Amino acid sequence: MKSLSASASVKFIKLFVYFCYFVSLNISAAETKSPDFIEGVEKVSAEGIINLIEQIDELIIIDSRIQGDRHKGYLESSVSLPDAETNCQSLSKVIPRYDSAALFYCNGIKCGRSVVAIDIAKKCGYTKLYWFRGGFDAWMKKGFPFIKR
Amino acid sequence: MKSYSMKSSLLITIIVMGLLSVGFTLFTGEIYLQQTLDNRRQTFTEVVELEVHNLWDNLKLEAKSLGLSVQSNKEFRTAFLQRNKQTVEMQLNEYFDRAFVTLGILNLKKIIVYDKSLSKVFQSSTGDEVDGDICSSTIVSAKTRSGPDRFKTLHKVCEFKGQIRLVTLVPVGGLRLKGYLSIVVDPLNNLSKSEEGLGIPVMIKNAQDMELFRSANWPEKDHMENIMLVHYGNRAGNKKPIANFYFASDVALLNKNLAATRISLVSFVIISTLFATLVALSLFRKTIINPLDKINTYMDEIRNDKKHLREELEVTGSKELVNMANQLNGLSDELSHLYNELEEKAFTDSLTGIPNRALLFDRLEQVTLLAKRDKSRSEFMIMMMDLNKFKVVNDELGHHIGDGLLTAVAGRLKQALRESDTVARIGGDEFAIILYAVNEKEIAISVAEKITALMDKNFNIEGHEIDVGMSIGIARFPYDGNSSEELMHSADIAMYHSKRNKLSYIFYDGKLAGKE
Repeated sequence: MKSLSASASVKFIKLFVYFCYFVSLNISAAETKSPDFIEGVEKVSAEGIINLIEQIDELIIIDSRIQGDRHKGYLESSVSLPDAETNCQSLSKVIPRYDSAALFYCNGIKCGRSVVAIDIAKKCGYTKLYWFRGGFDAWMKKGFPFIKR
Repeated sequence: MKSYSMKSSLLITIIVMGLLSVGFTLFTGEIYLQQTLDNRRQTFTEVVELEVHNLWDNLKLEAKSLGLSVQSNKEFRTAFLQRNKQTVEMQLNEYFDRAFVTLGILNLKKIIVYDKSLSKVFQSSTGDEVDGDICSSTIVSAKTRSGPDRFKTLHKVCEFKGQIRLVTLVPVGGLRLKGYLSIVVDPLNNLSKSEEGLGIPVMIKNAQDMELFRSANWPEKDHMENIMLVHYGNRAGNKKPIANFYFASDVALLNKNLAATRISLVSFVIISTLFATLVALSLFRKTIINPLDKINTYMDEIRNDKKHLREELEVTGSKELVNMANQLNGLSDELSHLYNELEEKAFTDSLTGIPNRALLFDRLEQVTLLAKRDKSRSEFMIMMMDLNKFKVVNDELGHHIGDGLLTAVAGRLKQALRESDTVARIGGDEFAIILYAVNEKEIAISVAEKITALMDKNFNIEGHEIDVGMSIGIARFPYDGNSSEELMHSADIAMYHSKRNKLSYIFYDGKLAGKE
């Protein structure tokens, strides 16, 4: 009897925790989830990047995350340019021409840095922009190679 | 067929039932034991599976991490792209001295480098001696991939010269495929750590059942009786797993507990059987054995002495036996009645209704014996008498009248005597009388005269006036004879003399004997 009530209360607590978790998930998602698409920008998946590289050999990959996140690992040949440091001048140093292909990514779908960076790039006049919405999370989950120092 | 007493058949039945229940208990105990062990094994297998999976996953992660680290190494990448064998080999060999290898986190066995189309280009000169591939199946399945899939890491477990190898294939080039690296690792050390994780000894064997690892505390062959062996291996198709784990779980305590349960169960059964036996026996004794014994004793008593027929048999116990006793009582009543009737018939003269010759002799015998034993009551007398003209009555008036006369005589004789004296018809027209405890001749004389007076009166039998006299001979104990035969004989002689001399009565005298 005792153990039954104990297990029942444990069950109840579990249910309560799940409930709180889902509620908080919905709230945070509503607040911080990045948009499904950005106008004038091509969205690509993890596999899409590999395919894109085969077509566009000089594709420039820009990592919009801060340095702390980059330590966890990054895509090979990506250039680190956190969104806070992104402006027309810093962009001109990594993207040679306005029509050069440039792909932006950050941690994942909850991360807004790549969105911010792309907006700046668009304003600066870059025309061939790609957005990897899944970010480093999706890359890792697919099991693709990355670089970690 | 052999006959058993009811008690022993009851005992045998109970013992057989007891044995059956002990057997049943042992049988169910065995099933329970197997089930408990099975449950234990199942639970244990799940734990083992989890642990081993975890170890493999960690190892795969380490190997992949090493592969990614090698391929992103700039010197290696440059030398590889330039196909500089010496530098590549040097670079690869260096990894064998790295901390995670020397510390045993990863037991590196070989690093092989392939080009984009999976042809072998270089390999570390350190590690396993090999010409071709280690685990060529890895390369075969890698070749079937295309597009972005080629960037994914591949893991394969296979056997190399009897040893287990984990091969991890990682791409060289993060986004632009340049080739592949095959990280070959010996997983044995890592997997053997399951003994620490689970806290029990482990043995690892290859697919050919060859022992590769054995915990130091692995139980010896003679101590396996309390050990539950659990096998686990990652099965690939129908083939025997390449890495086979055997865990030796000590079930001594479990076995002990189970054995204790079994012993207590069996003792419970034995005790309850004994208890049942006692209860059954005591009930059986009360309701069946005791009444039966009583009935048997009663029957024995009846057979030995008919007097007991009149006693009532009282039985308590089973209904059936009480009924049986009641029936017996009924039967014995009837039998007693019959006996009495029979006895009466045997000792009574059917014509006159007075005692017959047999009863007279019987009483005479008894009184003789009593007198011999008890001197104070030592004297009694016997009278023999005979009707004087009975033959004439019979011949002239017929047997019918003769019989009537005899009956009438008997009636008058009874009148002349005390209740306690015995008068008997001993045959034809002969009668005899025993006068108990009489020592004086005068008493006998008065009796004899009383009889003579009664007999002198005429008898009226069916209208016939009949006059019969009577001759009486008297003998005295112990003077005229020391036994019933002698006394009868003496009385007979006296009677004979009384008849011949036309006397009413006469006492026996020794002199009479000679005058016969």
